[in-house]
Amino acid sequence: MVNSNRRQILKFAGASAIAATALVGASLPVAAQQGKPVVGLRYQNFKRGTIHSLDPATRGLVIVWEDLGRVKLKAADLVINYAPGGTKETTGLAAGLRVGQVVDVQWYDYIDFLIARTTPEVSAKARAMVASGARAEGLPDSEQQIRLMEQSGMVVKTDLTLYTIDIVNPASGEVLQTPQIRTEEGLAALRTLKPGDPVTTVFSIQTAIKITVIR
Amino acid sequence: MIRSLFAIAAIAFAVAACDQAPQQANPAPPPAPLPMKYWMVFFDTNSATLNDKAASTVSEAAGVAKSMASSTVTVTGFTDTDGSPAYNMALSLRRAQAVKAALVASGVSSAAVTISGKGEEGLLVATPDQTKLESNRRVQIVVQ
Repeated sequence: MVNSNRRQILKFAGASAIAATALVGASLPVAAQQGKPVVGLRYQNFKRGTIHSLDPATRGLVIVWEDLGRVKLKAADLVINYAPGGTKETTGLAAGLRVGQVVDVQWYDYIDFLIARTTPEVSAKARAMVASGARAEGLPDSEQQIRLMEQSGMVVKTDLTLYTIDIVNPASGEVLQTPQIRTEEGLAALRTLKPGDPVTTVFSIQTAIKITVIR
Repeated sequence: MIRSLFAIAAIAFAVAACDQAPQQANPAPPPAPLPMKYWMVFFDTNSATLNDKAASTVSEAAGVAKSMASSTVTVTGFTDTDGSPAYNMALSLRRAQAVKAALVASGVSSAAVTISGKGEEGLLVATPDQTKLESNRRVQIVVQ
């Protein structure tokens, strides 16, 4: 019962956050065109899980969700209680995160920012995007960065069910599958690609922006 | 009288405790997916010889295979459509054998490596017959 109440609260909190920032969001596409890419609010997730591991060197953490699966995240600077094992005095708001804690996580999944056939212009654009990083929509006064990553090479396979691309890295020969492509632009580009095509992709990495310790 | 009241209260507590459903243990976290990695190496026309880049890729795959407990390695050779299908079937097998030899030389157990040749089947890029194309002249290495 307690859990379901909390889930309701989280849902309402999420809805409120979306509603509260809707007006702000109206100006963001312009900002996105002029500056950093923006991770849209509609991609924000709220979920409860247990901390499986922490990697302070990279601000990484692995969460095992209560329902299914696990996810590897980076904690944005906004997650001020990240410091593993920290105390209220050292982290400001709350004791630092520890393995085994049950937490509510506000996070962004992978988002595709660029899916295109490789050209010199596309490669340059990808490099610039990765260098600049992205920022989260709804945080207009914040420059909290969400890191971007590039995957480029030759298309080995496209999956129009899972919306992924298998790409062989030209340097290592390793074949890596992209995260799921979610944007309309990305899906349109996916449908034009076929094995053998050179492709350049840019995705944001999975990023937590708020972690609340439940117990 | 007081003893009776205590006894009633104790029974009430006991009944209430029995009424609560036993706390369910948290289900075990789902198992992580079976780790699987794969690589591709490419060959010159009518060749089953690993070039430097291919040798480097095979070496990397071998390193991963050795780092995984009880790993198995599946090596599959392919060709483009240049030449006869029968010749290409044999060529694809020679390519797979060359990769297996390099894996074993890098320390992977021979018993852990399975090879096969597909010839012109399973083209990465569909082409007409008698078409030379490097992306089709390949071996796929799957480690899991």
